[in-house]
Amino acid sequence: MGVSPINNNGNIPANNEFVNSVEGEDQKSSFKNTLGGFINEINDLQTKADASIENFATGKVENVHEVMIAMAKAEVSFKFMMEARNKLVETYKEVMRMQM
Amino acid sequence: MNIGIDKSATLLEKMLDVSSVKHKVIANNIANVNTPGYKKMEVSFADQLEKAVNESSMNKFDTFQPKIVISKEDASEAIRNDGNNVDMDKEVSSLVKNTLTYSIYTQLLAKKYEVVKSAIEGSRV
Amino acid sequence: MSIDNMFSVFDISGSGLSAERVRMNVIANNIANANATETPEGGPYRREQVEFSSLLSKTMKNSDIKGAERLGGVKVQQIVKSEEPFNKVFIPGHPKADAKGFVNMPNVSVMTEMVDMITASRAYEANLAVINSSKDMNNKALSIIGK
Repeated sequence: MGVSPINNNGNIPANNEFVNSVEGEDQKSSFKNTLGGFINEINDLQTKADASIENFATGKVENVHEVMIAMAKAEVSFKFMMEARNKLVETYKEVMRMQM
Repeated sequence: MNIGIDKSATLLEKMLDVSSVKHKVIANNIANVNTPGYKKMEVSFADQLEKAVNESSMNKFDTFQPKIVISKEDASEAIRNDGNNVDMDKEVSSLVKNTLTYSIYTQLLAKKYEVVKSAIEGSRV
Repeated sequence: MSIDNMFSVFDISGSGLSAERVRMNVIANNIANANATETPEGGPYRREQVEFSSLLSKTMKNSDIKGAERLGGVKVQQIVKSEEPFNKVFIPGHPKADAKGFVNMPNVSVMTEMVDMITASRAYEANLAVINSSKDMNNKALSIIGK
């Protein structure tokens, strides 16, 4: 059984976005932009959910499940973002601890 | 204190009010199904709602006031011998629809508050 | 905006239940007396009918919803005796028979009473359905608070 050497040139699947952001701010897929993109998407889903509620109230939408699914998407994506944020802060604290 | 509840939460509250009033109107129609000369009543809110929804600010919902009116649709067609025009089957199906709609609105509102709550409680770090 | 009493829908349907119950009692009385040729007031039994009238609500008079005071439910205005003519039935040997052998029987048609009974029964059930659905709605409203 071969134990692969530590400095294996192979496939450590680096997250290119993180790697690239270390190298420079003006990379197109920087961490900040990615996070910003996520937040925009989530905001978009919230807006869509609100719009579907309005359409249901005024009678433009017949199907209840459309409204329910839009709400569920908005809720899940929001909670996902909260979790992601928590993880990030945790990681940041961990990193800060490491530097000591 | 405005805790950031937005326009659709206010809309949902108003729709719950409308639904509640509608239920009472349907109850009255059903109770009076055998009253001579009684004409069926309904809640008129659709036009006001359309206007209020298209305003961008949520304060416009303050002017949103549904009205209880005598129903104008087929008021002349379906009158029976005693002058009563309440169609029992229509009223019962309106009842079922209204109950469902009410529970949909309560669930949507609950979901909205849940999301806000998770934002407040979610900062465990 | 509010209709003052949050349980007023139960009052409305309750009034419907009471009114239909009175109707059932009147119908039962009519059927029981369908062959009564003698009454305390004298003469054969006269068919009775209920008169319903819709009510104005006292509690909702101050509501800011236009028209809310019309939601008062229903009540039995009065019970009237029908003015329809008696049924003349040919029974020659009957103690109440007149010269030609005809007896005045009550102007109750059991068929009509049965139809009325079915109508009253259906209306009663519909009022019950309103009460049940209102109960459901109130329970659902509790879910806004969440778990």
